[in-house]
Amino acid sequence: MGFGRFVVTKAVSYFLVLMATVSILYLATYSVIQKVITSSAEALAIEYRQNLLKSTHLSLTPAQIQTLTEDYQKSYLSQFAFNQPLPVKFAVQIYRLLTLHFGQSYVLKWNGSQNVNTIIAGYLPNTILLFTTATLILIALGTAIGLLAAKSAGSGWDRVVPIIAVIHSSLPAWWLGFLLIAGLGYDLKLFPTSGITAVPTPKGWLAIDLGVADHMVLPVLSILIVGLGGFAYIVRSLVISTMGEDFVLTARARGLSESRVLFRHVLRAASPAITTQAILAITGSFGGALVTEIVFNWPGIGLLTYMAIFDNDLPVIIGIVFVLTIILLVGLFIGELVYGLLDPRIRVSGD
Amino acid sequence: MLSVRDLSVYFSSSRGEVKALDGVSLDVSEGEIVGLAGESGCGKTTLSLAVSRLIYPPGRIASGSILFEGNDVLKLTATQFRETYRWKKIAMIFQGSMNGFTPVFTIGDQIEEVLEIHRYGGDPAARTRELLRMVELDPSIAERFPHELSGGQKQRAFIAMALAVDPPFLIADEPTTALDVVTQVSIINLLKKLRKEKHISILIITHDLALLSEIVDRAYILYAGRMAEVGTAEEIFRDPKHPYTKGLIASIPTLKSTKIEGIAGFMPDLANLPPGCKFAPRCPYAMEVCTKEEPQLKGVREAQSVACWLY
Amino acid sequence: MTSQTKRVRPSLVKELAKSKSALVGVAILLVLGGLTVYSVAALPSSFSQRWQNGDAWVLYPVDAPPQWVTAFGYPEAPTVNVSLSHWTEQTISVGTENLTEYYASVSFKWSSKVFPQNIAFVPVFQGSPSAITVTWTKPGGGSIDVSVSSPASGAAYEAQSPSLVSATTQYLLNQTGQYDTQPTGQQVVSAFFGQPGPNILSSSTLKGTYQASVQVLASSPVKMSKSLVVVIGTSYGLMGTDNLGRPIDLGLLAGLPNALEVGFLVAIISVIVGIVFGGLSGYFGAKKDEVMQWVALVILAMPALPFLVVISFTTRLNLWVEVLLISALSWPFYAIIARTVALSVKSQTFVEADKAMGVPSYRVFSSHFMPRLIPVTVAYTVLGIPGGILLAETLYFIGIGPANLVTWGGILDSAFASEAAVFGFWWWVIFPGLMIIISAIPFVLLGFALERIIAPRVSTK
Repeated sequence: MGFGRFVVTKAVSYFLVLMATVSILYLATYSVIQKVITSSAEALAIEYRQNLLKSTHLSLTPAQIQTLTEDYQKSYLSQFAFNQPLPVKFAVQIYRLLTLHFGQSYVLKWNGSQNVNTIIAGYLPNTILLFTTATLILIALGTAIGLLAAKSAGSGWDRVVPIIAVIHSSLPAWWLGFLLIAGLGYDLKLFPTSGITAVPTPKGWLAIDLGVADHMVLPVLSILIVGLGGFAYIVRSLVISTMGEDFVLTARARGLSESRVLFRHVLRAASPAITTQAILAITGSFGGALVTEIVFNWPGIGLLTYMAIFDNDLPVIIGIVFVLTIILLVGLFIGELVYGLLDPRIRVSGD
Repeated sequence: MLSVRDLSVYFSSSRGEVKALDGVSLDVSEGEIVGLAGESGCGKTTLSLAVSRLIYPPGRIASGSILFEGNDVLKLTATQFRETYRWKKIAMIFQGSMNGFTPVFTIGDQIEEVLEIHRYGGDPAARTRELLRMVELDPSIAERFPHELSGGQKQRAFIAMALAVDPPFLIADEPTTALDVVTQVSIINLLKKLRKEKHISILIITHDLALLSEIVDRAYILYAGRMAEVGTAEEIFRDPKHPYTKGLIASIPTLKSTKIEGIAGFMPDLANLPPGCKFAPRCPYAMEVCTKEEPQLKGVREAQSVACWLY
Repeated sequence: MTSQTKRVRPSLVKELAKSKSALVGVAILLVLGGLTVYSVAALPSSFSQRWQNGDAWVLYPVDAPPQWVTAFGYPEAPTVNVSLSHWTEQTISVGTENLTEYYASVSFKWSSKVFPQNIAFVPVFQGSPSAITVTWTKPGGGSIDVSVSSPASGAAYEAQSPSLVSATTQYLLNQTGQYDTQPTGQQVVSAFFGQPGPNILSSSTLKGTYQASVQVLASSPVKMSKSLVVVIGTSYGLMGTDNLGRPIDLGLLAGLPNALEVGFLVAIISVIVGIVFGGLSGYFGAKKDEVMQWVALVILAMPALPFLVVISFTTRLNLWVEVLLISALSWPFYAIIARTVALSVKSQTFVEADKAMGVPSYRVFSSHFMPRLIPVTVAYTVLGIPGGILLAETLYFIGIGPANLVTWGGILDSAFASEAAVFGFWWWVIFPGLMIIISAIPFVLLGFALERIIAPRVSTK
């Protein structure tokens, strides 16, 4: 019962966050969105007119074609409540954005399609693949290093802290990418430096997957190097502060071995707090990871953003902003659920 | 059973060495309930942790010996001690037993874990239920998380865990602090019952002399890391000798007297102790010798000794 | 309790001075500050326009590594820049005409076995001389005469200028006896630096002292100024150059004030907003806290980078707009920290006591919460500066930022566009990145020292 209620409360709260965030985004980008809608209407109308012109069997007069095209354009605009009073327009357009109606891109394509949804759907999985892989490794390694560091807490670590902090707060992952490309990629030729698969694409799923993994090494490495120290440091602090709690002393008094105390009791008790920190760290490193894609020519949302900036492709950028907001919130929501699962005080309500 | 001899425990701090315990001796015989009393910060808890070898840096056991059933446990390696003594022979109930359970595991998980690591032969789940019944708790509590229990329930559950592998010796550090009066009485009765039924030796550590007077056979009064007075409960409570003990007893609220007398002043800084008797600055009977030379424990009755220049 | 917080504050500076890393931080900060002042004072305000203008950098080698790499055994030709400033003047008669002749000469030593990228002569004068002749004398005596008729002041006469090409054609004909095609720029350079003889174009460089003598003839008086003879080598300065010949060190210097300004402003604004918001949230607690936490989450959920990209399409970014946008997206991180601090203060009994005694809430906030929050604000402002710099440079890297601004991110962007990492132009990549890191170091060191001093106070019970 406790956890079910927790999930429902959180779900409602996150849905409200989504609405609020999307509204702010909408208001901040209002003028761009209107431009995107009209241009999409025009682009689709031109396409429609050409189809009409091609369909000679209909034997339409130029005037008829003109009216039909104009009607088509108007109906597209009316789907976005373009000429309605502002409140209606806001509501309808926000609804259309939330249901992923972003229209047509100006220039960019995916498999020949200029539909923004198709384009984003083409690039997004690569971002999720790269970022999830990097994040999972980061959490696993960071937790392990943080635990070991907490176990041997002493002055040595305090000296490393400023270095970790400099790396964490100032080293751009994308710049590190450059260095890795130049060093490990070109000089030592250890790893591929660009793209996601070898050219030409190898045959067989295993070869393709291995190729993708190979291409992922350097981008994952640059995200890891930047984020790992900071996360490990946070884990270390959390573990050390947990070790100061009463239950650790009593666990030792019960005759549990040091490693059992640390790995079973302390780690498990600190895990909700670690989860919160992990969520924050991940949210913080997302932007950097997107830019890292650019450097490695990794065909994900980051690279798509870069190309869209280059081509002034507003519909694509608008689509990216809204899709990423939704994904980010889903990610945060999942994080909250994990937190709830890990902390019995939430999972099982006390009263 | 337990014999602590001239034990000194020091903590190093930025202000210098803090002498939490300085040459303290204490004995507990089989089946005996012994009390250790004093103000907060006098070193009582340090003593209980030292007996379980739970002193961690910056603290260290500087000198002395702890004999358990005749063996000096300080001479064992950490692993040997952990495997043969902790919980098997020396179990503890803590002042913070409410926080003594790891918050993320159920009570049952934690009791069963203790059974498992101490190689309990039988069915751990059945044993857990038995233990919970022994401390007058509903066995279904095993499936609960610590935060779902009341303070008294947690304390009982912790005692159940302490009894898991039938230890001959139990240290109860402030077992009733932070519990309401009714629960306090029931916990005390539980401890009495354990001694009676299981013949366990118990060392009770508390600042609450009223509690001690009800349950212990003998009592030790600790002040600023040194023993001030030792004696049977009868001797100590009927006729306390040390001015500090007198002060402590006078400060017990009773139904008869409406006036509660405290002891003026504070305990000295353990990192910066005055010479002579450590209680002298607060003592109404302080003489010249008290600020110069430290008094040693002197026998004044059959079992009663006191460290005071008055005797 | 208030007396305690008052007691500790004056010792903050003293305690900081005790921390070695804080002193190192201050030292680096002073250097950065000095460089910033120098940058603002030395670089004209038109520098950013000059930076964007590729023609402004013809006297610099392109894609050249730093000059000091030669010390590590990499054979690179240095860039030599000598000026002609002492002009002698004499009147000579040619037929019936009286001409004024101005003369100056410079020499320099050449010891590199690598040919330079280019050579250039830049005359600077007022008036209209009829001709300039540059006599290039090589070590050992051979010479090339370059004549420029009706020269332009300030123009760069380099290897591909007709005057140098024709002079070289003549010279090569003399050397090889059979040269008839027009030499390329590289061949001109080879002629100027190569070993004389029939194989001059395939020979190695001639080491020794070179001399350039300049003779200016004018029928009306001319005022000669400092003119230049530039041997554009294959390496340049402290940090090398990019594909347009722009010196990286100059670009980094030009980007420094902006980086620090953005960093400072973003940190101050976002930390103050975050701390006040989070502090109040923790102070209020209960329902208000929940709502405020929720607001922070709304901001946290915005994908910062793409969002800033869209905004850059709707608004013309200037420094302030950029700073405000970055701050608007960064403050929730500080709000989380401040809320934790406020909650820990709140849990302390004296706060309860004050409230119970009916102390007005603004007094409770100012006497208990502010003393704890202010040091946290100071520490996190300092720690937040690198974050601000990093985000701003990241935006510049993807091409989002005020127009006409020389930025480290922008330099890295052009390095990326030119595939500098692929071609091994490491200096173009490494130094701008290092600048981002170096500019963070003093703040991280100082911030950590501050935090360490403050942290125990925050948690005092």
